[in-house]
Amino acid sequence: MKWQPKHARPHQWFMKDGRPSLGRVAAAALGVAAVVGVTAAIARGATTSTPAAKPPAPVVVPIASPTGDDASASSSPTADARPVSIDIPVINVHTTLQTLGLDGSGALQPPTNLTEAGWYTGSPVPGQVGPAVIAGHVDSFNGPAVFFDVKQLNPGDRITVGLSSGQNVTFQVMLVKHYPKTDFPTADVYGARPDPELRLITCGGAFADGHYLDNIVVYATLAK
Amino acid sequence: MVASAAMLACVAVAAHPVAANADDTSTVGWVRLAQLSPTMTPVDGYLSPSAGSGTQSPQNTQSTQSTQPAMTHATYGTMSQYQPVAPGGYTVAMRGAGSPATANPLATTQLAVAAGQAYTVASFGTSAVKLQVLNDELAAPAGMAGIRVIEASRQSPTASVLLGTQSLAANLRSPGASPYQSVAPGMSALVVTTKAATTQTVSTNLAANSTYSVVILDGAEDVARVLVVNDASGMSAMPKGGVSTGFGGTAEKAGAVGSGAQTVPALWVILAAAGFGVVAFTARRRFR
Repeated sequence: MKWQPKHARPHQWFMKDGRPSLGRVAAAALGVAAVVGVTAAIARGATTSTPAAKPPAPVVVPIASPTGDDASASSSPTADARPVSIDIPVINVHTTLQTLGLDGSGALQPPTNLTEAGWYTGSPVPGQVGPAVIAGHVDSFNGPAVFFDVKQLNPGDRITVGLSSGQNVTFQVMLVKHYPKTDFPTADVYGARPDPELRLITCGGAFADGHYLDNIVVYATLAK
Repeated sequence: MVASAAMLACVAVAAHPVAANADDTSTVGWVRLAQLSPTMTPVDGYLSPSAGSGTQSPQNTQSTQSTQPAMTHATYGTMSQYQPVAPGGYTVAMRGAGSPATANPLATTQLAVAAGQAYTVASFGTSAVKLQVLNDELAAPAGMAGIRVIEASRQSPTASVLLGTQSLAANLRSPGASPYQSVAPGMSALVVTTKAATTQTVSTNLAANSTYSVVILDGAEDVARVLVVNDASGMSAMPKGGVSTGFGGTAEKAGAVGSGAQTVPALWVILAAAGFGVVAFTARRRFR
């Protein structure tokens, strides 16, 4: 900027009495920062208020029996019953279930809702012979999702699945395993079993290129 | 402020949860009991760890105490549900229904349970009833069903079974069991020929990736009673690989940096840059 006499200098917003005004510049900087901050906050708010990410009030499904004694009574649920809810009291998971299919590549489709888990319709109805498969997201872009705490489960922890028939089936955790997705043990997770079992699947491990590298699988058998 | 934001970011990256790999998924085996002797009175079936076998019961498996029958008042043709049990040695005993657990058993056998393996322990025979251990298959080739025949009829010393036109068993002697065979899933006609010229057709629906046992029993009027029992069930369609169930919002963050913290360093950087700009601008004017 070429030096000019005071009276010849162009008047600019940050000038006062022909000199740059620290007060005006600082005020402007704060104003810009405030606008940026508010914009960021709005953007964040917008993200979290998309239908998928907005946490609706959790649907609390009553647990039929705290002791899970009803499991034996419901060991042969009607064949046309469908699982409609899952309760894992020890990690405070209480949610309804959507249904899941396979995508074009043959992989299990993840739930469309971050706060709801999903039952794979190609797996047995929970309580019938074989491994029933329920998947849920570990997180959204911003924070925890429905199965965030599934990795905290321990052998013996109880999981109750509510059926459309009104029956409840209670399982207890046998194993919690972490697998690289590149080495997912399909036969262990999805293979046939001679007793009613449950698999919970979510993501875990390192996050790279927009994907988690691992799956966490919970193996559960019918509670005794 | 920039420095502290950078430090926070470093701390966040450093905290990485370590995957906890335990043992294999097949920590249990499965046992079911069956009363398949046409002459045996109703029995209570007991499954208990053999003395000195070192069998340890995991907390999730049935407590296998010899005082608790695994199957009560089992009449001819009864099969129990499978019980998951810890691998190891077991004793199976069948006692007259309602007898005390200390009573002399009508029949006993020893069983070695391997992890991931399923067994049927069946009472077989007429004059000399004995317990026989059958190895059960859980898996069928992908997309197929597995099926076998158990012949436990006295009326008919042999049986032949077709599924559609595929032979499952030809002149299978009683008591005995055929190997499993792979068959196409879906609705099928099971053609059971017991005594010469005694043939019946049973409609059955077999699911893919599941296994079944066809049990031939004595029936009324010399017509065999045919049970189709589901041994193991899997997926109707086997998913490929794992599941994409996360978007990274909680990935690799230290516990101290909760969700929502990721936008804060960005704001700090903007504020710091704005502040630096003010100082630089003022200094530039002053030093000119």
